[in-house]
Amino acid sequence: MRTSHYDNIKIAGLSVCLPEQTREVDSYVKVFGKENIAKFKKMTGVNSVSRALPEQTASDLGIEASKNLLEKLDVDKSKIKIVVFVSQKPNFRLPSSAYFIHNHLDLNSDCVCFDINLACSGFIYGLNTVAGMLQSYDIESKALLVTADTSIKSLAPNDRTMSMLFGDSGSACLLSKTNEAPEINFAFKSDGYRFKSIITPAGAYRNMGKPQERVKWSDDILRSDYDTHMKGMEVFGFSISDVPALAKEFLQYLDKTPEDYELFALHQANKYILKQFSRKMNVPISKIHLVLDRYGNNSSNSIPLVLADIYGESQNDDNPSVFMSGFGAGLSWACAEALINKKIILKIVKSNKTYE
Amino acid sequence: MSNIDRLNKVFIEVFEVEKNKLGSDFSIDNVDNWDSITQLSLVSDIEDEFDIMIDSDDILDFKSYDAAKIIIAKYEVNLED
Repeated sequence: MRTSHYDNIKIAGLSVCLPEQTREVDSYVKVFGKENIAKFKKMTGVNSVSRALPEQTASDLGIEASKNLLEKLDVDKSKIKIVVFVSQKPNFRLPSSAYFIHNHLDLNSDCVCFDINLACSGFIYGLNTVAGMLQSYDIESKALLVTADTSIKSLAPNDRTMSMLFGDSGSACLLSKTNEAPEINFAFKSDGYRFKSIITPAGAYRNMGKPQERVKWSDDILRSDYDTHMKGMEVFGFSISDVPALAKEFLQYLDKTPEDYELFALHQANKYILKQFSRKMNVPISKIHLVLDRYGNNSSNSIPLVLADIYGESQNDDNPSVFMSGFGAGLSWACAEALINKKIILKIVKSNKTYE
Repeated sequence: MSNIDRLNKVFIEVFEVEKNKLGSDFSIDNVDNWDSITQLSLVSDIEDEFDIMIDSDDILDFKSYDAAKIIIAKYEVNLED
């Protein structure tokens, strides 16, 4: 377990943008059949997923979330010194989409921009990366962490374990260097030996020239190597074993228990996985807020979406203690704990706006 | 209803099969729609049916009808009565 700790970084704002439309899982009945749909809904807990338009990218959603944050919290843009974009679905092979975001937010060039290619653990990795960089910056320097994904763009349409599960959204989190702030603690683990567990094999430079045509795989599902593929049971095993094990180790390290937290903002993998987390960690299920029922598994954006869904409309100035955990492709898994002010978490916005 | 009938009922509902198909060759290797969703539905329904909580290692081992019988016996579900 790799850990890190900061006491001079404030989470100063959080905004989430969803596309305007959702897709009901029931609308897949014709493709997968009534029985399969019923089983899927019962096991995953997903009833509908947020769905970007075909022309709408992760960056578009991230820009909309960022603009909302900058406007509503009246942020001095000249103080933003870092833009980090976490996504699996960049606009281009080159340059990093962080530069596209930098452009559309009209930020000045006294700024560091780059992308991080991570999925469901990405929000926590992003927070840690930005917090670490801000250590060497002046007091009051700010950073924008943008997480967004449009997973649907690489899913095979008849893959019933994937296409009804993933939703699309974007978020922007403002971090600020201060003299003193509540502690933020992190713990990380990575396992490159399982890199094939969740993979989009083609589309980059290892498997060039693979056929676009989808063919039947051994599980009877039509896929090409450009589609994202998940080894379901392997990833499930990881999610219910390695993830709670890290969470337990982290709590031990902090000398804390689940009672110390008001909220468990967990990656929204599926309901059964969250139920297993609750059992293994002895966390009351009421402390694990669900958004997957309405929006699906939102990759790196699951945790911001949980926070915005539960606290986004609160005018309350409380600072609840929040335990976060994200886990997925890599394999990569991470936990964090922080006190987060409810007032800086904005109400969720919806937009289909695209940027050129 | 005996415990073995209750177990069979769950398999029949999850896999939409006739009772006579359930036997030693009913496994992940021979059943077409045995994927991660079906396997987890199976485990989840068995947990509900018998009011037990199955450990993660056991969940991953739920790969055949015979394995299911061996696993749930560990949770004090008597299949002989």
